[in-house]
Amino acid sequence: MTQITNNNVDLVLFDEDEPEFKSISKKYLNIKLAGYFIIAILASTIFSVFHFDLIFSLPSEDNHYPLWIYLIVISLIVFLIIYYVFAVPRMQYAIKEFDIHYKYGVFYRKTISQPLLRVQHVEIKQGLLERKYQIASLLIYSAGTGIHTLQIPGLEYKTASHLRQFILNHNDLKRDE
Amino acid sequence: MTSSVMNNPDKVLTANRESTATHDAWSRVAPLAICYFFVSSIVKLINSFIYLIPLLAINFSSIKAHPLKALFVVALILTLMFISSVLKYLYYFYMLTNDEIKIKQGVVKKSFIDLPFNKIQNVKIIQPFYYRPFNYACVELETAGSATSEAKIIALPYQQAIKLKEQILHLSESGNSTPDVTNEMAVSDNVFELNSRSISDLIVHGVTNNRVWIFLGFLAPFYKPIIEISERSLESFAINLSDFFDVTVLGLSNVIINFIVVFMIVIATFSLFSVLATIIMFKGYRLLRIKDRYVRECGLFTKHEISLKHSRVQMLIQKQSYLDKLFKRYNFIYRQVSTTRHSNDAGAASSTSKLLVPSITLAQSNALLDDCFNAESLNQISYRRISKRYIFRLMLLVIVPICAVLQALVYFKQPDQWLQYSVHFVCLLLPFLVILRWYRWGYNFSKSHVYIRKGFIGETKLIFPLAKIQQLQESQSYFMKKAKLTNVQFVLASGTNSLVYIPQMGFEKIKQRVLQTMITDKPKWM
Repeated sequence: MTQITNNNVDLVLFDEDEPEFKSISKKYLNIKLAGYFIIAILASTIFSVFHFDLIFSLPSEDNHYPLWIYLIVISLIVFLIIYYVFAVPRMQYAIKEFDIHYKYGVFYRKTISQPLLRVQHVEIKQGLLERKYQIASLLIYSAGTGIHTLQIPGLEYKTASHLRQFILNHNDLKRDE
Repeated sequence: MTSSVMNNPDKVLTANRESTATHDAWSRVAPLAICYFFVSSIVKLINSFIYLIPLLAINFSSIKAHPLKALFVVALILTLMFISSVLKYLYYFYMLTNDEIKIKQGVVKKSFIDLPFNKIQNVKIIQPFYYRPFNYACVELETAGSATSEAKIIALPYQQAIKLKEQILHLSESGNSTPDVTNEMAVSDNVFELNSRSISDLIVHGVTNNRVWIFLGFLAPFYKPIIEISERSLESFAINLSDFFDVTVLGLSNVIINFIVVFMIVIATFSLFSVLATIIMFKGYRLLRIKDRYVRECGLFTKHEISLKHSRVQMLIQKQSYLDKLFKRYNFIYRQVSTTRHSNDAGAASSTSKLLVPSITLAQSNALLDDCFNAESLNQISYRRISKRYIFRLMLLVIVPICAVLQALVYFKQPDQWLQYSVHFVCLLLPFLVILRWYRWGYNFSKSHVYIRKGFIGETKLIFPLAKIQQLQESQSYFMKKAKLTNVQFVLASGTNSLVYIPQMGFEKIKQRVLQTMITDKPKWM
């Protein structure tokens, strides 16, 4: 017996998940802290050199400038440290089949949604400190601009590498645009 | 000769190509190109003239004392520029093959450009005034890629330039390497004139789009020293300016009248220059549509012809400044991806990132909108307002601190009366501007397009397809989250458009639509 079917057809079956956000690596905070610590030490040495007339001495009579500059620099560093302590846990990314999302920000929560169709290419960037901790940033370049439009910092190197491969192998990128 | 061209068009073109191919040698352009290099060096000199002015000012007295020496220096500079132009011409070579253009140029710093035709997105034909009597043209080729973004063939016979343009554009359109010959008949079938600007339109544009207005506004704090300087210079003509403004002698009303008259003379002078500049840039303006391309021709001395592919149009902008409102005109802009890095202002005739149609009427604007995007007209759609919280935030975070600082300065520094009054005026004006900005900021979404309206006193409306969006950004503060509002940015290749304080639900819907469109339709962004 021949079987004939005449069932309902779902024209577009769009089954979509909510983006599942994962946090970036906690080591990123360590990197930031280490970096600022180094800058603080550098600033302190420069300040002490000028303030205590160790090697150089300032020609001007007004000896308060180094102190003010140093205080401003230190307070800036302290502020940045406090900021990153709160900001890093709030940096999250989500990769879905056809788009990539990134959430960040403390005072203003910002979400960037990047459809993979519009991605031109992907790069991985690692600074000196990042290399030591095996952390990397993912830079996504979207069509039409010379600079990267999305940067996800603080990813484990393996994660960044996998993400990069996933995006590069993605069908949408192979389209001739 | 001409008849054989008509009968065997393919043969002639292939013959030309073969001849250059068999030579396989680099060809020089016509010697007329020396003119081109010479004029470009003069233009560069004038541009850097701004930095030379202080030098001249210092040495002005010595220049006056030795006119012959000064003349000699000028002659020397011109001769050097001429020699360098000749050298540049001698070291400029090009090679046209079937599917690419190669250019080898440079005397000291040599550069090689290798541009395949299928990468070329824009072809511009520019006829400087010194080329026109000889019927030559300069061809500029632009790509969207970042490697070699631009190539210029600095001198080609006009007819050859046109043929080259057609050949390249056909190649990038159909991927077909045998182009159709465009004789006059075939072209006119597909050509549709969308718009043309008459001299009166250009005059209106010159008057309403005078950048001078902004310039005068910035000069406000300097009116007093400017008046003093002009007083001193007018004294040499035995005109005492302060007599015109002496209230005790003339009475307040007369002084005010004198002031208005002087002001209007100044404005009229600047407007005249602006009108002249507009006519020089845009005379003979025509906007054509040829199949899927927009072509714009204009120019009094230097003729510019720019081609823009329809699929490259990212956004349409309809602008109406407060001056345009007086004349009931609009400035219409086709925005596409900018391929070259150098800055182009919207009015520049040779700019491709913004194709400007100057001072058109509402009906003409609607016609252009209709032709380009199959969407509801910008002017017929209703715009939803952003939340009033925007006023609150801007006032609190920006306006109040600025006014406080200004008032404190006035209180402590006690400047002249007129400066105090200006500060008070500004402090009163700023909140008014904020409210106006909020009032103008509106948006709407359709199935396929986004509409945004913004402005202060004037009004700017823009429309772009969802398909052209590259990225979506949204940002929310703690308070906004509670109020379910969000700030949004639509990132396109041509730039970013933002909306503030719109309902979160509304944006969620449009975000879903955009992301789904990317998945299901996979639209090309170019």
